[in-house]
Amino acid sequence: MEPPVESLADEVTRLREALRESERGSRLLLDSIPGLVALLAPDGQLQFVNRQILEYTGRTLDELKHWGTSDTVHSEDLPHVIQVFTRSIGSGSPYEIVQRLRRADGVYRWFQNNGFPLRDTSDRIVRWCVLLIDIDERKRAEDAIRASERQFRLLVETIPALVWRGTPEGELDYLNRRAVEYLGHTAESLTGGRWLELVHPDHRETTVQRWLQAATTGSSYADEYRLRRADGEYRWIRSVGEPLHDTDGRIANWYGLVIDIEDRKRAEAESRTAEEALNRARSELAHVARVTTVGALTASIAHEVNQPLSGILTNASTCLRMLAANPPDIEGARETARRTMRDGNRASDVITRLRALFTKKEFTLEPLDLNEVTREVVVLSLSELQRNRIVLESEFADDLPLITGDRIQLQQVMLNLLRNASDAMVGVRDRPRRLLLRTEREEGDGVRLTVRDAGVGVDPQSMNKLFDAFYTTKPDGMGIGLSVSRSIIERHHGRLWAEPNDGGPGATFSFWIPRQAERLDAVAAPSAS
Amino acid sequence: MTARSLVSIVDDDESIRESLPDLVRQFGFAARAFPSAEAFLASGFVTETRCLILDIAMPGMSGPDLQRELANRPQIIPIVFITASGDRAIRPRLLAQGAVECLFKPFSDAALLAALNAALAMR
Repeated sequence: MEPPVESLADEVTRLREALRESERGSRLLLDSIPGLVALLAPDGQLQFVNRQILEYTGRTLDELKHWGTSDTVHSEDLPHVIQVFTRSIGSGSPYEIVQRLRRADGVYRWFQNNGFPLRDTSDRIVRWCVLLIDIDERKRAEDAIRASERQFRLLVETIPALVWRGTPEGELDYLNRRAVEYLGHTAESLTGGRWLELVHPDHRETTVQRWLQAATTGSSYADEYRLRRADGEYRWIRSVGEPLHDTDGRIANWYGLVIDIEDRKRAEAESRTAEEALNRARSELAHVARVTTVGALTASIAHEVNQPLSGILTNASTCLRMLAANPPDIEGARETARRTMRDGNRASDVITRLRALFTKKEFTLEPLDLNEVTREVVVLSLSELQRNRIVLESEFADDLPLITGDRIQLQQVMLNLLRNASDAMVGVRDRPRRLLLRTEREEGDGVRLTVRDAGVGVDPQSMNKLFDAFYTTKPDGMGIGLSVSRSIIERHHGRLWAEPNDGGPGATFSFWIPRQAERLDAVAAPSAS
Repeated sequence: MTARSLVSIVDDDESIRESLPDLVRQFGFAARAFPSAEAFLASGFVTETRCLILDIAMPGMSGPDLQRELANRPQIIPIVFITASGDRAIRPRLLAQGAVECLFKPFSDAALLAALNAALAMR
């Protein structure tokens, strides 16, 4: 039995209704999903978009159908989207693209675009379903994290230091690029404690000890040692590390820096060398100044040696003559021979004194009798004083305590003071050129030496400047004698000062030294001129 | 032979004062030593002195000072200077000022004798 035509038409209508109903249901469903959904024909032709797509893009279905040639997809993403999409449609396999999609207001937001085919019972593709999920915020957060990570990595890689990370056990597990370049090794090639082989053999033991100490106690680590660079040169480095603790308080990682301090060390060493050179130069200068004095004292030396030599020669001549006489004067000859020996000893004493005075020696401390020390200087200065027609008067106290000091340096000071006094009186013609040299015991158990001249005196305003280096009132002076003298006296914990004479022309220079100056400054001492 | 000529020696150095008079006596002269120019001037032996052996550098009045002082007196005393200084330049200057000789210490007995003979021959 054939069904009636009307009923067939009714049936079609009913089915269409049902289908429409179903589509409405589907549309209702798709419009209600919190996401952007599109349905495509098997060939990729856009057939349906849900309300959210229309609202998001602000475009109609017809407009959206031309997404491949419009600005719906961000122009930077479009080629990639088209490529993946086309390939997927062709092959029938699902795709996933992350891309930007234009919002109605023109802003592009990041979407995750998933497309997958819908198949019928015979496995034929009947439609494609496309799901677009707004991942803009997540993407931006991820990008920010990635950028931040990149920043940090860049920082770590380019920081002008060697960065390392270690495991809680103290094993090296990361080196930044600079470290790799510097060492010529990667973290991997230095595991198993092989990094120690880069440490200079002399430093290896202490380096291990310090690192193990830090690693076992979890305290901050810092050490300086010499490390072999990629080119084989051992260079001084400073290594510092800090442990990062996890929430349980256990060490999660060690983070550290290695800084090349070779240049600094060298600069320090050079600066030390320069300082030593300066000190040497200073003492050389003082030595030169002393040699200048020696030059001035050459006459004294000749004088001192020639006197006893002259006596020796004269006595010997006399002795020979007495022996040659008829009858020989034996007793006279004996006496002259004795005098010859005495003069020989005098000459020898002079040489001994000179040697003690002019041998270049380091600062040597010994118990000293100021009177004795002063007398030796007087002997050496005598001829110069005589040449300048100086009348030397000395008053030596006989109750002086011994002092501790450097004989030669103190004599340098005395020579300098005597010479200054002598120079100050060269122009004096209207009065005796008196030079008073006095030693005294001072209260507080010190000794004092005073050199008082009757010379041109010192302008009270210049009193303090006298002791400045390179200050001089002499036309041919260098102005270092008093400055060096004062530093010598100060090294003996004493004091050197000048004052105008009260009631008379001239000036008085004095120094005072405490009885016990056991500990003198260790700095190399300059000597006076 | 008349009384021997007096040679006076003025030197602040003890070695010289000890040794030189004996040598001078060996030459056949009388000799006296003085430690300073002042002591010589005050001694009363100035007029008696036929020759003066004089040190140049001395505290107080120097040898040349004494030479100048004596130049003001009517009596002429020949002077032989002796010096321990090494400065040879002083010799011509002293000779130009009238000294007989200038000997540098140490000097030989022959040099001294020659100088003394020259000095005494001047009279």
